[in-house]
Amino acid sequence: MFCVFSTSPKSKLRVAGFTLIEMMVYMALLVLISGSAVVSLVSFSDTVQNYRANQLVMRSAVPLLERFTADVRSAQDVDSFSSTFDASPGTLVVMSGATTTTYTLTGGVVEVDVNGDTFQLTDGLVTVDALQFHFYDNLTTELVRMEVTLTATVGATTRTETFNTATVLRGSYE
Amino acid sequence: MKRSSLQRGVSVLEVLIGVGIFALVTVFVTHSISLFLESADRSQHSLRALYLAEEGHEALRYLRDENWDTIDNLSVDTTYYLSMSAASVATTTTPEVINGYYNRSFVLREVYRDSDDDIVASTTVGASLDTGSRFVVMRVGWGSEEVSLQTLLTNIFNR
Repeated sequence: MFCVFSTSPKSKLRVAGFTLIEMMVYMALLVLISGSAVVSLVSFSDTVQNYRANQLVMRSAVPLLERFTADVRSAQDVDSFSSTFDASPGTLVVMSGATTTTYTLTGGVVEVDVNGDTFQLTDGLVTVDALQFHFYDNLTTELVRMEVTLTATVGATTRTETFNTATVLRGSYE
Repeated sequence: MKRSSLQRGVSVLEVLIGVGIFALVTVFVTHSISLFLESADRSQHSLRALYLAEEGHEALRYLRDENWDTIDNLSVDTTYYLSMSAASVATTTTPEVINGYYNRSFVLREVYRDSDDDIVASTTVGASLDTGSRFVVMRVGWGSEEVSLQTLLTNIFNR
């Protein structure tokens, strides 16, 4: 009924369908919009993967940094003999009263040991590539810096981020 | 064929309007989602920058504890940087770039107190300069963005 090419000489019948021009305009529009939709969808999935990788990194990094800050800030002393400084994987042993807290990097996961009880501070969805501690002592106070590098992979997107923080041992004030 | 039957179907104008509305809505939706993703990314950068600023404050507290002169000898309202190696922490005039991305600097400001030892503006009548206190504004910048964190350092050990 609706024919694209009308051969009828009557003008009324010619109006019944789409003209070639109309059809071409419509098809061009369709191609343009579906094309840009596909392009934006592809880049969109990249962005979403990047976002999810970012969330995974944050989810492990923030508790680690907060816990480190709280533990070291309240500590009285650093056990320099049991700790490994200025190299990765680093180990940090801090003492606060009768509590000994140890930070280690085992198989891409940061673990904290409090008087023999071990907890994982980062989850299995991220890999901790490097964990370094730096220790400074000026005979009045002690300072510990931490540098940690985490990697999260979601689909084809890999995100590696390094976090740094430092804390003066408030219990080390003499 | 009757005129009424000719008007059935969709005209190009209608298609154009329909497609236009659809495109407009799609653009708005994707734009707001990408804004959300962008801000999530930016918040992570700010967070890392804030940890670096906090690290800078702690480093200055450490230097303050060692010897107040280290802080006192620095000019106020002048931009300085930190230099942190495995062996030592120090202040420097050489710009510091962390992980090839973040620029960290700090500025010291004078602290004025009134007769009750309360911190007041330097313009307040009777305000006197407290040489044992300094405001520290720690700045961490990346790209065109920056976070700054201010704290007060005082000569608590009096050395």
